[in-house]
Amino acid sequence: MVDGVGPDVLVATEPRASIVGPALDRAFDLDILEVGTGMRPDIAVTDDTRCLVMALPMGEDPLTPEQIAARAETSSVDDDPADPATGPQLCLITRSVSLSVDPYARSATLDGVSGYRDRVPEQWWTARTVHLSTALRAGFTTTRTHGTDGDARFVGIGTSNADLGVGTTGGPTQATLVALHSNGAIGVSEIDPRTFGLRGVPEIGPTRLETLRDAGITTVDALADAPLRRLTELSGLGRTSANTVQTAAEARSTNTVLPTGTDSLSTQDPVFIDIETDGLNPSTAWLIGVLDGGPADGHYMSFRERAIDDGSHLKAFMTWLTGAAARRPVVAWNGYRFDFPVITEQLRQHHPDLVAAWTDRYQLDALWWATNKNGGNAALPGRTNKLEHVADALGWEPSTNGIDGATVAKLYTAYRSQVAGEADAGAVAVPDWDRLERYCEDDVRALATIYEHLEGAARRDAQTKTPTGEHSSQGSLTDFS
Amino acid sequence: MTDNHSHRPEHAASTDTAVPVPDGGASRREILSESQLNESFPDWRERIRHRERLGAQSADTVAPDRVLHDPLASRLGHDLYSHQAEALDLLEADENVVITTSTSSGKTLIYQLQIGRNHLDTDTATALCLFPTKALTNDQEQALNDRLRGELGLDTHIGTYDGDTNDERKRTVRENANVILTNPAGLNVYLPRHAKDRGWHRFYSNLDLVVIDEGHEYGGVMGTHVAWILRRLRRVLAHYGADPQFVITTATIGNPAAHAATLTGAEFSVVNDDGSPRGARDIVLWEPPLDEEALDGNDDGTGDLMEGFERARRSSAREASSVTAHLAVNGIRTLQFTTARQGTEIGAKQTKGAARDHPRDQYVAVEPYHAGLGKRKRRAVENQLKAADLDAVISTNALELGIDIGSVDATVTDSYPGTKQSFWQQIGRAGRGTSDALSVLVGGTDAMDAYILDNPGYLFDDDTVEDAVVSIDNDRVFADHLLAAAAERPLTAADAPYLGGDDRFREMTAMWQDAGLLERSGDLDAGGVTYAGDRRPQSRISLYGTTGTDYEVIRANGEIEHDPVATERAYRDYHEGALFLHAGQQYEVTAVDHGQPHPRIHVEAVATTQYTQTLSTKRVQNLEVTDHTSLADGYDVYFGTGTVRITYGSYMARDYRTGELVKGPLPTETPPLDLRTELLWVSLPEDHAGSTITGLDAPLLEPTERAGDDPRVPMEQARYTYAGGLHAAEHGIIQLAPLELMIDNHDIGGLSTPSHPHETIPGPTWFVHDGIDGGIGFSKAIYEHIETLAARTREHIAECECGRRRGCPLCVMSEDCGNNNDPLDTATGTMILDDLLAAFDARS
Ligand SMILES: [Zn+2]
Ligand SMILES: [Zn+2]
Repeated sequence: MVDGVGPDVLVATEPRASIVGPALDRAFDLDILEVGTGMRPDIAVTDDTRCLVMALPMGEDPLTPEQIAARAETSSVDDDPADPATGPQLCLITRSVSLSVDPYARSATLDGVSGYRDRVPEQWWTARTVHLSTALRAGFTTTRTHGTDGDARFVGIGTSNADLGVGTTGGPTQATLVALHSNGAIGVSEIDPRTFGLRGVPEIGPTRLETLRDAGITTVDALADAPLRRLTELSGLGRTSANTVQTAAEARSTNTVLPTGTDSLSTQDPVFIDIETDGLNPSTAWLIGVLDGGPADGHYMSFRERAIDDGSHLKAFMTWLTGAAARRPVVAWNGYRFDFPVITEQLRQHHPDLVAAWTDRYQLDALWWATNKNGGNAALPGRTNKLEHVADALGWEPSTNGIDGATVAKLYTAYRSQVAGEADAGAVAVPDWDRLERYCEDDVRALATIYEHLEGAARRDAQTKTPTGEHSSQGSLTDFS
Repeated sequence: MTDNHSHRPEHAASTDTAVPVPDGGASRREILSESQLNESFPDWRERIRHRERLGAQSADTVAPDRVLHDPLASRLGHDLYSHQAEALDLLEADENVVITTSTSSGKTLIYQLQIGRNHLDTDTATALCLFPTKALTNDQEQALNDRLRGELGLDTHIGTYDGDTNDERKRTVRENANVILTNPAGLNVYLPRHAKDRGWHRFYSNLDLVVIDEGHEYGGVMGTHVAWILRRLRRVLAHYGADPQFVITTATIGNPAAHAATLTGAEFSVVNDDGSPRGARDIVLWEPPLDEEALDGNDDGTGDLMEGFERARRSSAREASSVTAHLAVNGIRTLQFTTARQGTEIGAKQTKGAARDHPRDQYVAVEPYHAGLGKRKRRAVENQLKAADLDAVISTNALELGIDIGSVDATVTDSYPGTKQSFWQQIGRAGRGTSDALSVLVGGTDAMDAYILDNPGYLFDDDTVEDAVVSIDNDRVFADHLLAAAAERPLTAADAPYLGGDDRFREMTAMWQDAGLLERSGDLDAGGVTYAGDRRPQSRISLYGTTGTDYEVIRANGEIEHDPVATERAYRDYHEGALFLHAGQQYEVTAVDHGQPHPRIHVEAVATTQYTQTLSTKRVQNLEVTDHTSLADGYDVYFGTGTVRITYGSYMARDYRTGELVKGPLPTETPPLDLRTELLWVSLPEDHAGSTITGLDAPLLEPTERAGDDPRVPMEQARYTYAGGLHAAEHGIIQLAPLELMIDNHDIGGLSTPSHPHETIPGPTWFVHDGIDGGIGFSKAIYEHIETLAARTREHIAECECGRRRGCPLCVMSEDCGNNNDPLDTATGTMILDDLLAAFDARS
């Protein structure tokens, strides 16, 4: 997993922080920090020397800039690492800042900030410093003002003991990736270690993983290359399943899409779409990105609302879809679960008369076709089946970075709140629409890239094809009960 | 308790004269005749405490065309009872209706006809029906189909949609059904699908009617959750412009309109004037004999306090078996409901034995019956009963709603089932149609049973009906449902009326924004606030507790169908070594895994003659007053919130045949439990202990040996005696509270103490607290009824037949006492309650 992500610095967190180092040490040349254990701060500098990461030591004594200068000497930092003006970006790690939630008092507070603040030298308490806490839930970010010191950014990288009710699954966090962008943006995402290596291959659970390891098969490549007979003997899989496992491993190992089923794809040129919303349970789809044509030369169009929730772009989109793009299939990634029903709901709200024209259109969820339809039609490469991961493995490169769907949703929500709150429209900070639209464009081009490979896989399996033309595959949603 | 078979008025021909019993040849009057009773129970005169004959009542009917249009009126083919007509008229006038008429009065016909009427108006109209159990759902699906598609010839699509429905069927139901039947737990998880599925979208957009069957079932913890689920439903519906009418059916309760309003947040009209006919019915209250000798020499506090009584009172289960045997031997088919720890199998054996011991020494065919038996076995018993192959059936007291064994000639209830509602439900199984029936209540061994035997009017006078108790005040539960609501649709200011009102809604939303579970940049007044936590928060809401954590019960040697257990109950009743009875079978807890997020209780079926009792210590802190009743002369009653720290530290095992201590106290190994909950406290004047002891004209009590080992019990005689009085008053009120309120007193706790540091408590006090984190409205309801309850308790304690200072299980001793019922003093307790009642009277 560590190999797959390639971080600059690794922070070991509870419950078993002390074993992380020994478990990884020999395999990787990587700084591993542990917070609150040593007598002195634990320091690491990123390879590009732009960021200095420091884990606070045990106790409550204040830190001194000298301690850092002394420790950082071992690294190749040219500027004075303790000088906030010239030095690299500072990233401090504590375990004493935590969240407490009290539903009976209806309040959520950040505890331990004062004590923590007292340990940090004055000149490091700047807007550039990022404060990480292992006692905050991974993914939690907040900006708090402490006294007259100005804003401080806190980011969770561990597990919280706060009473978060039904808002979290309550399971321990597996691993968190914190990305610090040079523009000051922070991206936090959770990584599931099970999606790495052999564990990431479908059908390989802990038991089979163990069996394979004992037999010396420790990598996806080795699994792809193992003789099928040996695999069936070892893993207790039937021949068909073993074949599936091996195809999946091969797809990952070779970064290709491989056929696993007999379904075809429509011969009509598809229209690729992707929507931007205000969250995972959206109340709007304010941007519909459309790609007309292939991944490289296709024509990209943005249908974006003109005013908040005016629904104007939906009508424009439908006009185009029923006019210029009449009868072409609409393709989206994970569309049956997200894009298609969200658009349906939006149309119901704004243009009920257009609902039928939309729902009657042949819609295809490319992910579903690949992984579910009649047991699946294609083995996908990539760490997970996320659009970016699959496309990335196929060699696609985005034009935007430091941004993802959730960030876009947040930017939009913040804008929407401002608009509604400000009487003077001129005072509202308008998001960089262009950047957001380009992000959406990235996604539809990624989708088109994958689709090309899916078509290729479908053609390779041409001799066993079933007749084309089934137009009623929408009821496949797994029910939630 | 399915009341889908409404009686046709033309069958209402019964009169007030005794009717021969079909199978036995003897009439009920004869069975209760002197000679018959003399034969079976030589001392029957002392055992029959009360006989009530409820006369037959004829139907009050209305022609269907007065209420319904054609084709419904003509197709219905029979008259409506007056209450059915009244409810349909109210629905026609756009009212929400709550119907509280008796079991079997044809309540379901009302919503069946309303669904039919809506369907004829608009054929796309839909209705949602919620039932408390799956068994009941299945029954009602059949009944709805028979009525709507069969009798009324309507083309309605009706479907059950719950955890047992397969995906394919679910899809068909979502897309086509006019009527969906489910349960509140199901609705909780299906609700978020509204925006993602066109079937649900169609269903919600056209929703005209929401039916909540057996609405009294939703009290306590479950009721709190259901109230929020229904609010979430109404809020989503508002988004679709749907504003359905509600029909709630409930058992007879004292506060139908208020209960319906708390459950749904809407206003209701009440229909309670029952127009259905019923046959005559004899109800006998039967008191098991008390073996006075066993009590002798046990009033000095030496030895084990409970033991004498368990031995002295022949177990009510055994007595009930004798009564059942008497009836069975006389050819009366009898259903016996038992609460006995031993379970139904042994109960059946006992009844056979009692029949053999009967002077006429007869073989009677008896079978046990309970929900744990499985469908096939249950069906076999039902068929045998119908075919008259069985003379008696022994069933558990808590037979799941919707599991209907069919009718019998007589019922025998062993121990009062806790609520009038359950009592009448059990009684209702006797008698078929409008034929006559006989029911016997054999008094059990606790304060409620004793009260009822002393005051039979409680059961038969209409002016004493319990209030259903449900509350939406628990903020922890609200906080969870708010997250669920946000995941269903982003929150906006317009949601406040459904979600707690403006202040509460905004404060809780802000809290979750600060905690990062709701989008921080969102704004309720501008665009809304979206959900930002882990997917599907609904799936993590447990309807069995308030803290989101519940314990799964796992059986090592077989299957067990046991509801998840709330943390509070797990700590008290399911510690390692605890014995419990479930669906007629005994179990022992072998291990408890407190690990999050899926704690588990491992159990094993056992056969033993023991039961366990858990001891605890308690501390009350952080009191905050929210309401206060000031009485005269320095007496006060407060209601508020506080933290109750309970340590269920040890337990004892006793033999249920004798009450004898078999082992213990043994450690439970359970950590302390902090409940932040609602409570009331009665604050007495500073010098109350002194003045009471001075005025006491009985001798002071001698502290027991056990009390000497307990550092919390004062050992000085005067203080020991007074503490016993406080403790007795606290126990008495908790034990009798269910007479007034439909609450489970297992979810209430108490603590009495001669002093407490809180500023509102200058002298002695006792607390009554909700045993569930955050509270579920129980102690609040007790606070609101404290004067009535205190009066009733005072009278009951003073008049208990035991006449003992240290009381007995029929007055102030409680199995749930964490202090082994020591100290207790009924004499001082009566004085304390007298003083409190005088302070109520003297209040200006
Ligand atoms: Zn008594
Ligand atoms: Zn007690």
